[in-house]
Amino acid sequence: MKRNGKLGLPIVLGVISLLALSLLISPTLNLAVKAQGQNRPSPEMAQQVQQKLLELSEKFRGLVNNSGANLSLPQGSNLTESLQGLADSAQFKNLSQQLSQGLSQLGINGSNIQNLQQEGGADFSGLVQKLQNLTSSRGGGQ
Amino acid sequence: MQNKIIITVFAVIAALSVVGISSSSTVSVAYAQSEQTQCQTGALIGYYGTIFGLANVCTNGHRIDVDIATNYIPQPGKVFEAWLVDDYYGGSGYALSMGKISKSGTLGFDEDMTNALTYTDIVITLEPDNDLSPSAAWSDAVAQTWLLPPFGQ
Repeated sequence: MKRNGKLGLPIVLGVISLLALSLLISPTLNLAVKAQGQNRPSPEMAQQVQQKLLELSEKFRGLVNNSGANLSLPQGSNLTESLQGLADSAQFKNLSQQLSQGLSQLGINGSNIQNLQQEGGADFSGLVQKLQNLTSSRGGGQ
Repeated sequence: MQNKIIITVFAVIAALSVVGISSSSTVSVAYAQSEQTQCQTGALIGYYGTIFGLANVCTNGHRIDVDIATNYIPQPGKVFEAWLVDDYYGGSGYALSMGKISKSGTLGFDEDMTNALTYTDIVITLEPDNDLSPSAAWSDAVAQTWLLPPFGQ
């Protein structure tokens, strides 16, 4: 009986070691654990992200204010014409220049934006139609 | 003498009633105004200086309806995610995800909030598809527009 008790501890330790080893080797479990660790931010990281987003947003506002561009489109107006008017304005061209120059200052990844593609080119009437279809399908108004 | 006192008392009561009625109607008007739905449409400006899309936002102070449309397409394996941000005028910096923009380039978001007027900006970020992180990838932000008053309280 005493001899069996002495054997019990090494057996338990052996089983635990085998389980730990299988967890380490198992690719599925290993990947899942790594993915969770890499993608789930700590509270401190989440706080930093919010702070960065705040700084970015304020810098953007500063650039828009300096350029004098008006991002708001008048209600009840022809949105396509208003949008084209904004895009053609000297203030917007000034803003575009400041944004492209200040991209690194904003702390954002410029290559991501440059690589974006547009469906149907810069077709403002198609864009406005898309918005109006969405708004009317959801029962809203402008 | 007694008649004069009675007349004075009635005059004071009448004056107080008039003040009370007018102030209560002012409160009612103010309340009605705050409950009135107001809409605004803003251009979403890409951080590279392009028109990224449009955002139509309606609110009555509590309910908020946001419609977003864009012609831009995210890279394979990525999605656009839209955020309501409360950061200007010394806001909290809180960013509320409105979800991802669909493959057709639209996003409709509506919610009944305790107070929808605290938000100041809409920011679009580029996120990995099936992203496990609920936070915004701020360094991959691609576009922004701001919200006019009554927002920003």
